[in-house]
Amino acid sequence: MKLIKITLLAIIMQLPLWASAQGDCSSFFKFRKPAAPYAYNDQSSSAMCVTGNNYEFILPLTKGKDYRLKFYAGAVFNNRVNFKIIDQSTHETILDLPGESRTNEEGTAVLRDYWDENKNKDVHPYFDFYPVTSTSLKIIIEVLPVPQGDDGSGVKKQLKQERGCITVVILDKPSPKSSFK
Amino acid sequence: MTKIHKTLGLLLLMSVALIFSNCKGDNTNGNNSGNDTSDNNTTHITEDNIITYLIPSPRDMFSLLSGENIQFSADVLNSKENIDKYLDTKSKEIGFGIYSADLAYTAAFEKTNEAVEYFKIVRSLSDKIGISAIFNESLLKRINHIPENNDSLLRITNDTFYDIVKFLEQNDRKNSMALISVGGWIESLYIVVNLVDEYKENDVTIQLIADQKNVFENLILSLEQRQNDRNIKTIIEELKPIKDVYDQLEVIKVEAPVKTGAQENQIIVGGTTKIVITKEQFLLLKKTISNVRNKIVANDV
Repeated sequence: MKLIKITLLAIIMQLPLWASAQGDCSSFFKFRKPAAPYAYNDQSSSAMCVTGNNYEFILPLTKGKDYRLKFYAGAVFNNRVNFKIIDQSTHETILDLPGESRTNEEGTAVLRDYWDENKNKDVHPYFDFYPVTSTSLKIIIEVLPVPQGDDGSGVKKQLKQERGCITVVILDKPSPKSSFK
Repeated sequence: MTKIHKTLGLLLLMSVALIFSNCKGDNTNGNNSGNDTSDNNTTHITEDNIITYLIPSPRDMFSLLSGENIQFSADVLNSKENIDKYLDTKSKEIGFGIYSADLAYTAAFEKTNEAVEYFKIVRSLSDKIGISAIFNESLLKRINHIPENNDSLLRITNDTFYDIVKFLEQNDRKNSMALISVGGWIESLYIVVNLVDEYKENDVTIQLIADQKNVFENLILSLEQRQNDRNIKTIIEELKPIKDVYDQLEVIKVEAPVKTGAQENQIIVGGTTKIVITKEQFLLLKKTISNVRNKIVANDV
């Protein structure tokens, strides 16, 4: 009987985890729809991420195309996600985008939409890249740990972790000055 | 132990296995984990970053070639009859990638008749690898009414690739995606190298072929992350001759990089290095790609 209870408990415990792993990222597909003149680039990718971990995406860029990158993260992370982009050919950090943390004020996160006065609409931040020669970008995503509460008891507790989806949206268009055209 | 206890024990083991597989996430650790020691203190990069190697679809290469001095040739397409050779899962998934590349190529050059033929083959293979849901009635209607709806083959092909990636991701079929990518990449490169009549220094298409070194490295690293799968391990072995040629290509430093052409809001990347391919290396690559591709399309792997 005890084995039956343990088994059922194990099955019940895993169900929400499985459901979230399968469900969260598919709901992020809506963000991948391109807006002209940009087309959807199949390298767009999602990852089920856990707080306290780092994730890397190695993205080859081809000369002759202009690229647009956008990032979306699950609400569960509360914008506490740092992004860093490194040009693999030069090893230079070309973008270092902080999320909201104890040291970065609320509202500074790269994931936060902003009001564009010129376009008169809400805009999700994006970053445009022009590869002079073909190269690769290393996109490093640091999902900050969940702030751990201290109840003053001095008893060490299990670290609280959250899981959620992060999507890197990649769009492209032929470069106007491309020598291919 | 009663039968019910045995069954429950098995279920418990499966539950534990599933929990661990979920915790692992989408990717496994790569060998060259970042040990970036950036001066910024907001990001602390450790040895255990989880790495995803991204691979462009066939559309990526062909979208740059159409309109170029390259002529369309149906001779480089995989024979439609070869579909009968793809009987096992590995060959069906690789074959799906190969025919998808042929479809992208015919669509990029607006060869409607050929594209429709290859669309039918891709659709037939999709049925065999469990992704036929994408090739529904509405998609077929779009194909049949291209002129009336001011639609284009290229747009339909792009939308179809989008749906395929979405379907495979939603169903967590990463290994299928890897094999489809192999088929798509090798067929695309086979087509492009065989469309080039002669080697010319500083030719944009030759440079595009050399630049595939970056994409190929990603492809191999992505496959190596999944080499526990027997089919993927086999295909890594088959790709080794291509790796040997790409490893020979030199990456040189560009002394005075020209960084013009960017628009005001664009971040300029690259420009300081260039992948160089000599005439001998190009001919060797052409021969090697053709050998490997012909072996794969014949399902001789």
